[in-house]
Amino acid sequence: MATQWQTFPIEFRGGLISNLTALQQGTNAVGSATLLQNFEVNKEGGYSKIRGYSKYSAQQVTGSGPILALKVISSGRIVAARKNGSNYTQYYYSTGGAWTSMATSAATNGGKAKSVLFNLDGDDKVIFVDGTNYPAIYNTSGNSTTFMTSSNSTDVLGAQHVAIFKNTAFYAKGNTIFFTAPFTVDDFSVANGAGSINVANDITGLAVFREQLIIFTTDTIKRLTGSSSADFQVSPITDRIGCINGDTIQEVGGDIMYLSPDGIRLLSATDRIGDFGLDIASDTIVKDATTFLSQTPEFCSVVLKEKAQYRIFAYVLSEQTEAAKGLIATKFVSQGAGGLAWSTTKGIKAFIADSRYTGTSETLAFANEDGYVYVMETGSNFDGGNIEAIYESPFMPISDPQIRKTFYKMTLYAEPSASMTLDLNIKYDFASATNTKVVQPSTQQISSTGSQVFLFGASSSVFNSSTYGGELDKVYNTNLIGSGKTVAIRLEDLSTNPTFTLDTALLEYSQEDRQ
Amino acid sequence: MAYDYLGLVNDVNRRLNEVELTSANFATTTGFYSFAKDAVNSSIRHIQQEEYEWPWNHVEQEEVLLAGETRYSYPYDAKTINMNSFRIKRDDNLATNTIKLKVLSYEEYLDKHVDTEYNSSNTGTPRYIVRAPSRELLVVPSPDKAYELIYEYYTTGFDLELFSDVPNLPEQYRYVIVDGAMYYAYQFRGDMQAAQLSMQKFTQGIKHLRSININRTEYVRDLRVHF
Repeated sequence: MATQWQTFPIEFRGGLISNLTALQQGTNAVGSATLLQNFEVNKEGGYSKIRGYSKYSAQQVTGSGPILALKVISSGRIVAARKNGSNYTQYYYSTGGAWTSMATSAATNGGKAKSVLFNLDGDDKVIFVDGTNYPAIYNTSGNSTTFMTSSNSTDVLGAQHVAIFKNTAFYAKGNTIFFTAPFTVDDFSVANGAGSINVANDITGLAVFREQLIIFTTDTIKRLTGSSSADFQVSPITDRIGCINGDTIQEVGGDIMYLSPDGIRLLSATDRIGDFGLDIASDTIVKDATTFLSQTPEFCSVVLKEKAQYRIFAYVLSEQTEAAKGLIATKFVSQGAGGLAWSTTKGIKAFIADSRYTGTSETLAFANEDGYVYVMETGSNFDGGNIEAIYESPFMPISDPQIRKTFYKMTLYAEPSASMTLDLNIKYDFASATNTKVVQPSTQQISSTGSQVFLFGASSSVFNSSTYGGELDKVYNTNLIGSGKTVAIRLEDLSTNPTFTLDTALLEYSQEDRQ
Repeated sequence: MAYDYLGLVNDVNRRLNEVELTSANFATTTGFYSFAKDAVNSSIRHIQQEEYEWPWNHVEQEEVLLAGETRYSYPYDAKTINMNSFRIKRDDNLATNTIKLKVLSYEEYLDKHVDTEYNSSNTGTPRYIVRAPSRELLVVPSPDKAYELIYEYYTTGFDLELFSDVPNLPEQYRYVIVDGAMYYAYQFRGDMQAAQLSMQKFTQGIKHLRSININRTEYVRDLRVHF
């Protein structure tokens, strides 16, 4: 039989998947990834290389150990805290230059702080609680930070979690929630409407979700409804599934994501009034999630609203920054885990992170133990270092997995924003090292810059010689060699090149007879 | 690409858009790659079988005779032996000049000289050469000294084994080997149409080899003067 060339399209969508066996994924989820590192599933389609990060300020926050508190006030102001030379937690703010000290805690060895931003009196303020000290209140007006004292209430000394709900501040410590009088954050007078509620389990996080305050404990999830101390009521959502890390709780696109013992879960509303769905969002990446979650108990998370993303980072003190791992979930539907697409990060070492959308821009900040505060989604490098972006497809049988296919060409449709240089590896038959029947082809390169296209900053762009304005190619043809019964493609970019989006790859192949 | 076994197999791999082998993995690969190696040897064998006397198979053999020994085995790789090429080499130590041996049929040998095989005293300088039916050569009379016998024959050719093995066909006929190998390779792939086209090219290539290397018409000679 004469062999006819055929075309097999691989549309890059679906994101990282690791809950299917290799051949099942290659058959049923073409275009998904077995490895999608430092890529994000783009809301506009395809997989995009993530953007880089850079130092918010060239100066370190004075002190030692990891940054203990971090709050983005606006794109031009960040508040951070770090342990000083006497082990007290010292709060600073910066507008991009030097860090200015504002206040120091009364007690030593404060922990990682939780915070909430509120505005009850016309000034943006932030409450920080660190599990050891009295809550600290930062006021944007005057850039001042003050600590509560015993004169406010001794109950909130060592508060671990904080939330603002119904114009009331809620502080959680152990298994008790202390709430203030309405429209205050430091009035604990019962006569004015303050009070406390025991929820019978250690509280691990608080989150406001629509008309209720969700109270996460180690083993349960409860909700607090009502408007004041007169009608506050706690009722259970579940007594089986708790949250194991409060730093992972974020509201993303109408759902709350949090880390539970069995993975990253979604707490979402359902069609029934008062009902909640509790999907395991990380089910589709169960292998990656298990590995990711087992490496450390320290996590932090951040929401990137512009991209409908939830980013969670694992923190291991001894780990090199280049090896630090994280997960990115992009939401494609308003509710439920069905519309989530995953990818991973490598090279973002975050102990604490925060984000805020102000004006028309979103600022994502994170920090670790090196004392610098970094801003994500900026530039095309990791603070000057390369970004190692890798896409690896599943092994696809294309048709009959018992029939050999010879591959001749790959046409990659991509959208570079500037220079793009990718390493392409074609792998056959599961790339087994012991399979002597298949010889794997060597690495090929796909490059975007042609001789007629000049990009600002590129070494080939010469002043008074180069003409700007050339259109970058969006279609890249590569000749392939080799044959196999299943095929996988791996695209790798290890550079400081700007982001690009992988759209579709077309494989041209001929099918051989059964042997 | 070097003209050796590895180079020929990679010619086949390239034509089929397969990954080329290297000297490191040449010996261990299996599956199609193993078949491609077989295909190259099959093609060479096919070419070798097409003619008895390809010039690249020509060998001049030297064999030292044993005193009193009449029968000698063919060389193991002999396809055809030029019976008119046997001669005793000049050797001053043995006090012998170069002597061309005449060809005797085996039947005539049996009629007139067979006794020399059993009579150890009936020895001398060989004068005749006989082709025995058992892939043996007989020198008559039995040699009385260790004469050096020289003759010419054509080999059957040999299979390539190591990646660095070089075929005895001249390199300019590399394409014929590859065309033949492609016939087998396409058969393996189930592409009979391409296999048939390759066979046509292979056959044409062999014809070309034959017209260049076999057909010789140096001059026409009238042999009637030897009546």
